[in-house]
Amino acid sequence: MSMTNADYEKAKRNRTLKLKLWLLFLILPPAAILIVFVFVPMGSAVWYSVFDWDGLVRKEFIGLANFQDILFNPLKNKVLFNAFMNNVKVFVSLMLVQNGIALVIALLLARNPKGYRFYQVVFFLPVILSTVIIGFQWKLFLNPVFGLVNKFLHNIGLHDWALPWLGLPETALNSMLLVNSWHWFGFPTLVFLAAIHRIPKDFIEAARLDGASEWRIAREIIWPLMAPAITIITVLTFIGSFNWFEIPYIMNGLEGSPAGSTDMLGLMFYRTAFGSVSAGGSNFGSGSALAVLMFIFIFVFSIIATKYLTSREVEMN
Amino acid sequence: MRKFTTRALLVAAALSASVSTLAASELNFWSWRQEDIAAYEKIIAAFEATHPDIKITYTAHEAKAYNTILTTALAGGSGPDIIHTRAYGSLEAISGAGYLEALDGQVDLSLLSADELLGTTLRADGRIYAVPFASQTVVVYYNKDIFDANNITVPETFEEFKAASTALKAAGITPLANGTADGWTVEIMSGAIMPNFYGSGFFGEVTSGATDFEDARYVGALEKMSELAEFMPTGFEGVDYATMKALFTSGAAAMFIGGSWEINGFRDAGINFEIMPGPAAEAGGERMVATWLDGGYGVNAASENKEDALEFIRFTATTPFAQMLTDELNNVAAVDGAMSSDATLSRVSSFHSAATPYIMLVAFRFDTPTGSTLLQSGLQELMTGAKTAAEVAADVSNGIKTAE
Repeated sequence: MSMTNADYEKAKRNRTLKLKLWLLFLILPPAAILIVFVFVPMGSAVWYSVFDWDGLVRKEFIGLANFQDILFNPLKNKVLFNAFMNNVKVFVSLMLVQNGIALVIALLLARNPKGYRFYQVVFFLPVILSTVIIGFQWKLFLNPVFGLVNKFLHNIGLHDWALPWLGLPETALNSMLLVNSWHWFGFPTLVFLAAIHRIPKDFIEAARLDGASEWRIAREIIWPLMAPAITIITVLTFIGSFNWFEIPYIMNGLEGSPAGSTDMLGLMFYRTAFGSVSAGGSNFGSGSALAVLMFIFIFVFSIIATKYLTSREVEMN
Repeated sequence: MRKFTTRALLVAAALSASVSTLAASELNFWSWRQEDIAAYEKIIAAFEATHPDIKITYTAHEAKAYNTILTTALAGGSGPDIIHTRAYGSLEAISGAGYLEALDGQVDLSLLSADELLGTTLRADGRIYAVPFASQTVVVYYNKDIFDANNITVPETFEEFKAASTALKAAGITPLANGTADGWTVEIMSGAIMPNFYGSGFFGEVTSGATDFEDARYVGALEKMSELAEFMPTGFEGVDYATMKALFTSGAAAMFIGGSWEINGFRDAGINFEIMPGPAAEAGGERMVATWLDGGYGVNAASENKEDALEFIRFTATTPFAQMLTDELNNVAAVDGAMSSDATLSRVSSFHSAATPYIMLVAFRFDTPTGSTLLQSGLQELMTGAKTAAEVAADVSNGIKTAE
């Protein structure tokens, strides 16, 4: 029995309808999750930021007064500036140390050394550990009395080097940055390694035949061709640095101890919005205004950075 | 039709039965004291024995998150009937927003001192919103075995305190377990040392505005505080609360400046310790301790069982309740008349004859930045030598004047 034209049309319509339903089924749940957990909270933060909400009850609409207070009240903008500069330090240091180490390791691993798989797993292992555990464990390692780090330094005779790492303003932030780098360097390593593997082998072999040094190959072939990976890692590091919260919170507490040297925008936001035993009551209005400012800054700079870095990428055709 | 009527009657009977079991009112009581659950259940059982119509369920939330959990529930129109509140600034946040029932006139508060009631009074209307429950006191703990083994006599004055510390240090023992990594522990330490130098009149003057924190008495007290840095553990800048306790309970450090709430923990750790107030400024001088009210019991203004909740609150303002609190929890009860069979706790109570309010918590935690934020950060800088006493005093003073 052959299919009539009408049957065929009907079957086709059915198929398109099915496809549409299927697509809807696939799109709706993630869209709903995005709306409920991302867009609505973002919108409500903006909404809350224009109210006087010092304490428990939302009071009257005060326009941009919360923003003005954070940016221009000399007591608050001193704290804000200090936290912001610490976040800048975090970004620069992580780019240099964490991502620098990752790049070197990726370049070494790309040459397929013996035990390549083993190293790859070992380097990535800290990434999958919980940040809370890592922060807590390193806090114990760095403890000036019982910590492994100072015990080790004493054992090898470097008594003057055994410092209260997390207690001194000069070393607290750097110690936390090293911990964070140790925690995360495996991730950029993996991304860089994948990018290097994507570069066609003949490019490198041709250069080698032409007598180019390894350094020149790395600088003039590998580096420009892995630019997309660098863009991604730079932007992710930027976002991560300005949202940095877990490690500072776990290792040195909500107040950015000692004396504000490890204060971050994220900690300041938490203290302002939710209050703390020492820092006083909650202020959702002010806290939301700070969150909105952080969001705008991170969003705008991420876009600019992405645009700028992408424009420098070379196509591999 | 008849079948229907029978059924309706049955349903009505079932309903009325369930209503009659509900007639006893069920109250919820929230707190942050997870370590006190067993004790509160005993106290509640004693109350229920005399009030068979009232049933109270005690729920303890995680201490750090308690304020957030409570305020969120209250803001959402729910929350418990009976609220374990904190005092001072934290209490104002909820009483000022109208979530608590004013208690004066409804509860007999005659067994409470004016100082204690200050902690649960809303400054805006002068009314009392919670029955104060217990006070905390900053004391100096010392390890008796270490003192005996090194022939150290218990110091009376600051100079003797330093001499004892020097002798301990020479014997290879860390004199003081205190560190500065956790800002609040340095503030606590200042509560044992500084009042004896700035004197009993300073609190009243600084809160009334007659003087400020740049007062020579306060700067002098800060200087004395900084003289103790050399007796703290090596690397004290990185010594946090947990490490402090480990140093003292392991016998590595001879003294620990901390709150009276540590008594139970140190006793459980099995060390042979005794307490003393902070050292006097000079021989024969007063030895003052800083104290503050830890919190109180309040009633949710939106509670449907307000009268029953108030009945429990009335109970918390009586001596029998204070006695249970003392016996079960080793707390220094705010309500008068409780006698402690615990010698250490009795000593804490005896120190109260020369008590001064724990200054930043009691008077300067209402605005941002709080006095505690300023002082903690300032003390960290003072103890590490990053700033002088005068600079820290100026920072604290300016911060408090511009706080809002």
